[in-house]
Amino acid sequence: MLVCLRLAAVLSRLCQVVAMGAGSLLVVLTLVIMYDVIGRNFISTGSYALQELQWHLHGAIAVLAFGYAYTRDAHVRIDVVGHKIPPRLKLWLEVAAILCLVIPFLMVLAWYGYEFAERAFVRGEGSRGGLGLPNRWIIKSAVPVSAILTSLGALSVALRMIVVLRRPDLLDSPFEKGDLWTR
Amino acid sequence: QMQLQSIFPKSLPLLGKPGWDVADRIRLITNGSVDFEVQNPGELVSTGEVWDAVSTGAVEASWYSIGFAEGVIPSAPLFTTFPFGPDIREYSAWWYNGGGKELWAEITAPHGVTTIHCGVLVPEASGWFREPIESVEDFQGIKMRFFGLGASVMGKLGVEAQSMGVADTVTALNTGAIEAAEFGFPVLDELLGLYEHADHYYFPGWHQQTSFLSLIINTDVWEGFSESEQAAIEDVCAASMMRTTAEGEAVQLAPLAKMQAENDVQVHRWSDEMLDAFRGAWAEVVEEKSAEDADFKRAWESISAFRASYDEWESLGYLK
Amino acid sequence: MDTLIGVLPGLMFVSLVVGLFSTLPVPVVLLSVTAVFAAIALALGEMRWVHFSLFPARMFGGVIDNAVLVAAPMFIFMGVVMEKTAIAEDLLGALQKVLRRVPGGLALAVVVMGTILAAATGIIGASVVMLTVMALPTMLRAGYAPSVASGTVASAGTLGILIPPSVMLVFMSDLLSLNLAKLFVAAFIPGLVLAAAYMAYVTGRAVLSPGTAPPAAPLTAEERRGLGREVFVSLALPLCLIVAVLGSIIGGFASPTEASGVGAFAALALGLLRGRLGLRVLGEAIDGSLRTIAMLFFIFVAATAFSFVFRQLGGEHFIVGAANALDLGSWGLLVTMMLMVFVMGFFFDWIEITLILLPIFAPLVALMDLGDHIPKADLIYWFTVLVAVNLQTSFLTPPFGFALFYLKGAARDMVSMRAVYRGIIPFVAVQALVLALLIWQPDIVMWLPHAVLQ
Ligand code: NA
Ligand code: NA
Repeated sequence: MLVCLRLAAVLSRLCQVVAMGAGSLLVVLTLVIMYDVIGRNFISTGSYALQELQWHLHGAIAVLAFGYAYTRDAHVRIDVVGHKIPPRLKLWLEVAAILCLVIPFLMVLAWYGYEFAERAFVRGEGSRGGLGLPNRWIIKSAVPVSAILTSLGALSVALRMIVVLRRPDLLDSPFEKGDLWTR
Repeated sequence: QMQLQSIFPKSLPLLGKPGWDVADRIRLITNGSVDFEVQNPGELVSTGEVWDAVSTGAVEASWYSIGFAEGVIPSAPLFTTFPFGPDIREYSAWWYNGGGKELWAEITAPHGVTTIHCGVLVPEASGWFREPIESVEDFQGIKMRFFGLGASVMGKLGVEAQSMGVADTVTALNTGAIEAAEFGFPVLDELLGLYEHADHYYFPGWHQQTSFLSLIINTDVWEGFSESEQAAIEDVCAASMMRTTAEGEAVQLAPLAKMQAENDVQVHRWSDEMLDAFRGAWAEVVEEKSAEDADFKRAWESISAFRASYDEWESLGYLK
Repeated sequence: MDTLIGVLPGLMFVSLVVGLFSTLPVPVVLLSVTAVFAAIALALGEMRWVHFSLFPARMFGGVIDNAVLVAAPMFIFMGVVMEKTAIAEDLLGALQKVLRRVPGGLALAVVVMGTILAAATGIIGASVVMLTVMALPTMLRAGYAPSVASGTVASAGTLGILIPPSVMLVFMSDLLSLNLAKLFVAAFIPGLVLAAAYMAYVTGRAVLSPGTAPPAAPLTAEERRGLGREVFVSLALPLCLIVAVLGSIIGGFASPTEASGVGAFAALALGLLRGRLGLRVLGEAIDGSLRTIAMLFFIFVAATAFSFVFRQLGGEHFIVGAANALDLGSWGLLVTMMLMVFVMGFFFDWIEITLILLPIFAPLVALMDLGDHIPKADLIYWFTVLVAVNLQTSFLTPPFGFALFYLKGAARDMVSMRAVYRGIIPFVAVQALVLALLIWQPDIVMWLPHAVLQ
């Protein structure tokens, strides 16, 4: 059980570190947009690549924190009739769904996502007309990376759920309390 | 039944609708043995990923403009439409009989995609401008939404090309966040209501003269068709080239007249000096692209050689 | 075998609905159902392995490489910064004091606030989350019934999708090749009518059953003294934000998407100006935004996977077949289409619905003729606004209403999902009434476009 806990902590820490990066990109994206808008209107800087950079940053922010959010229980649940289901059954159900369905599906997504990014790399995919950003494989890699991080976050949650179920004395909640910047 | 992902919506005449018509004709002529189910843009996969999806075979076919593959195949525009490109007679002569088709097939063979040109777009307008443009100086620092090779050309003349999405472009043009934008031809631009956003409508569209639309099919799927099925598809497409040319050439003037009469749209034609400036900048872009990409260089040499010899025939055979 | 394949879309649908009630996270349910039915589709030959390569392609093309969606993280960030620096709270507090004599004043303040935010944001996530975090605790503390409080917050926060700028209208004009400016203008008055209808309902409710929407305590002399200045300052700051967002669009400095970034920057600047934005608060704002963004986009990603498998199993034909089986006149067709959108709204979000239904509807609408009721040239705009109002309801209808998810996600344990569902029903009814009104009186939609654009 202690091994489970330690592994869960490592996995969730990994998700958290990437999420810190993604979160910081919020400020970067804000500044890039401001630079683009001000530059275009007042200094006449070109902005073709900047505009592409905006959706690249958006993409990274959008998909790289699923795992972190899961470890903090930030994904929405519908609890209309949930109180009629025994709590332990709910936990087992979630563990089963994570281990038997979600992680296998995400692994498939990661595999095909890897091939997807690899094709972009091999074919040297860039933007149309060549004025935008080259190396599209970098942002395309966000797909497999997101799938892997989400699996790790989900696995971390599942491990902690197992500990909660088997050794309630060690742990009372499957979710972590700290925020993005804790530790 | 096979999936055919269109990159233009069915609601757009000349651009999208022919994709559905072609699928219908193919179904009819093959007695239903080749049955494409056509999908509106984004339903299976978004436009940017269509080439990749057809190449893996995840989607069997697409109603496509191969210029959209420029990100992976820099020479693609030369096979679909490019600045100061040829008219339909000259372009189709090169494609079918001047080595164009074979060269494209060779370049794209590693991708596993078979291309059949299947529709023709008439020349586009050069764009919508909020203020009239008298000379190249008027271009300095103006912001214009432009995609593809034309963007590089405009850049050389001092225009700041923008890469906004369509929806943003329309609003930005309306509010003056950008001063100009390049869209389609009159029948399309009237439909999209662009006259609400800018008054000065420039011709000719030097950046996009005649353009081809294509049916692209995963090569394994294509090779799985019988000889008669392949012939049916090729002939439906050949007929569609004629049909779309005829329709496109016939329907532009009425919407143009309507926009001029009802919406105060002013139609301008670029002066010869302006066209020379565009042509000069385009020559620079061609050199850069040829240095960057060997296939671009090859394709450019092929079509340039063909056009040089065609000029002779054209001046001999045609009145003018 | 064929019968099995025939019922699979229905079965997948039912599995989703049942699964959603299991209290597992929504995207986990979506992915689980998707995984099971993808495996079935694979076994039955309805999907091949190569189709799995479309999952990353759809995730990338639909969510990452999407210039329109860039606005989403930025508007959410702006909202959370406004919340953490208490700018929004001050505004709500001031509105609440101004409206304290009116029955249901606090709820009215929330609707007014939702309308103001609607003008500043183009997506619903941001305004629902913002209102939830600020207004919900205040309303609960003031003694409002959790159902009334959450219903007000969810519906007021959802106005942003209808009142321009709106990401949804952008999508629709794109799909139907309509003039976006005309569509924006056409949606404006219906949006305000809806806001007014919410206010009427909230006031009526407070009058008829004060227990669920109690009046506010009268102000103390001390509170009254600084009121003028307080109202001024707390109205001025959010006004700055609206000016920053709408002003940068109208003034021609930024595109609608970029305006979201300008808004986020302005929120940060105002926070600094009021001395409420330190590193710690910024960190909290980033964390809060990121959780909401992850919550939203994980559902998006899972939904693109779900809808692809659903479509491969023939789910689309399943729906269209039902519509074609009936033979209706123009009015019958209109009512049927509205009902279809409404019912699908119970389960799917607007992106799936617009993508599936609008292209199917467009040719039907082109053939429709309602005689003198509405001129043929206006019909498609009127119809699109009707669909937009109807789809706005889809954010609010249980069980799969995005606004409800945002609300619950941000409210955590403050209210139960049951209370949220109960509270939203009267608002959905109000919405249906407004929709009926717009069908009955097309001029409400078309008057402004005619007045402004011609
Ligand atoms: Na809005
Ligand atoms: Na719904």
